[in-house]
Amino acid sequence: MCVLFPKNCHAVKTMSNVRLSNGSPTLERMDAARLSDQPKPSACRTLFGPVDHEELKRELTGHLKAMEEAAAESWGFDFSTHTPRPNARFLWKAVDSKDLPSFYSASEQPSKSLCAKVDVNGNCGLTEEREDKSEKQTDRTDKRKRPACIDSSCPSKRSRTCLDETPHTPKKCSPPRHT
Amino acid sequence: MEHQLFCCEVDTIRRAYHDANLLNDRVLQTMLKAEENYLPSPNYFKCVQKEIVPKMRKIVATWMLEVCEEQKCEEEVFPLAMNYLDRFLSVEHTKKTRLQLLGAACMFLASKMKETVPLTAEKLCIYTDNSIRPCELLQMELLVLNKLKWDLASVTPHDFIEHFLTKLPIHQSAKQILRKHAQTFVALCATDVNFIASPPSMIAAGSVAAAVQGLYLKGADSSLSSQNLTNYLSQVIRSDPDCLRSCQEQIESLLESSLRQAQQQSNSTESKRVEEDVDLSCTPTDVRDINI
Repeated sequence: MCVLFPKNCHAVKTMSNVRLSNGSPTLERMDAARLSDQPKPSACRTLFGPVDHEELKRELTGHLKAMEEAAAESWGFDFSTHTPRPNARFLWKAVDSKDLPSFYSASEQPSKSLCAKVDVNGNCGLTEEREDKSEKQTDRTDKRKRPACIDSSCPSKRSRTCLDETPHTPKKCSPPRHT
Repeated sequence: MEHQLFCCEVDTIRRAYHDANLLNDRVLQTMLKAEENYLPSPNYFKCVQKEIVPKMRKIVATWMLEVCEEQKCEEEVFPLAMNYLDRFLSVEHTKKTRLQLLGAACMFLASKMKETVPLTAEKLCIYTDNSIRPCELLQMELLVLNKLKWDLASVTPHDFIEHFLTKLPIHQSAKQILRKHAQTFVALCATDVNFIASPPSMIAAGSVAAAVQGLYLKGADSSLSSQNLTNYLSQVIRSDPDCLRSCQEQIESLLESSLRQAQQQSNSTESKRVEEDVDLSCTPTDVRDINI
């Protein structure tokens, strides 16, 4: 029961010619291609016919609404209005964002240009340089986020900070705060 | 020092070294336990889905593999994305016209989990020939996360391959090629519906065994003979040797049939593909070495 790999097999070869070196298994996979090359037209295709965007939008919104409702139900907290529901299992209390670890208020997504810079410089082998960069990065996001939280009535931030005060969760499931 | 800085400024990524301390039995046992939690339901085509049939999974899987290869994703991204897709389809009735969107969302997530520079939503939408929009992809992503209960740390066959390789008495140089073949088998399995219910450890063991056979690797002793290897690996993954043997045979016949298919395809398509093939056969792959 031996397996042969004929020369003229396209599918298998593309799969198997990807990784040769051991120490850095995927270095050659991650060359400039990701950043610059446009996708080959052959791989760009619609598989199952045209998509009705209106219908899709309705479906997705419906799903997300249902998810939101389920989360509101289980947490006793209305995430769309950012108010606790009456007779909830949990006692909700507002907490000052300053008392919380910064990652609760930091932006999740650094800007694209920053990403690219870190990526390019990340290869030059200087960790100090990189740490420096990431510090700058968080600094910047902090600056951007904090005023927004203080001067506007930014309720979404509030609701996040409120989450900290949910002490009686017996399950280890993560709080569905995105719903 | 600064000079060095300039020299190294190329668009490669930094990745962590393999931690040899993680290749021990305690970790392996934990993985064997953990993998159970990430298995899709084996019969979701019958029980959950009404529109989606196995053939469509194959179509979307083939497309996803193509995208992952073209974007030079890490090897793990594709099997991981397929695990998300199967798990989603196990719990959520989905329309045929949403399947590509789902596939894209799964690649989006898997890429974020495993890559330093993940695929972007825009790029994935281009690969759908712009039949979906980035905002739809983001919403779908949220839906998938929710249905998977935000648990994306699935164990994949790739996690096991490294463990098996350290256990086999094979020279370092042979290991690289063995790893590559095993990974190819894993990707192949991920495209095939018959492996949906197989635990990742089984697929990994079957793939490594098939790769050893295919490469005619011989150890110093007889430990790499087909039977010994199967027995040994089945002990490692705490499974029945016959089970593993049949998995390996299934993998080998899957390879044969997809080779046949690929051959037919390349015969029927015109010179363009042929040229491409000729090009590829010039690249220093293992293909010829195996064809002893």
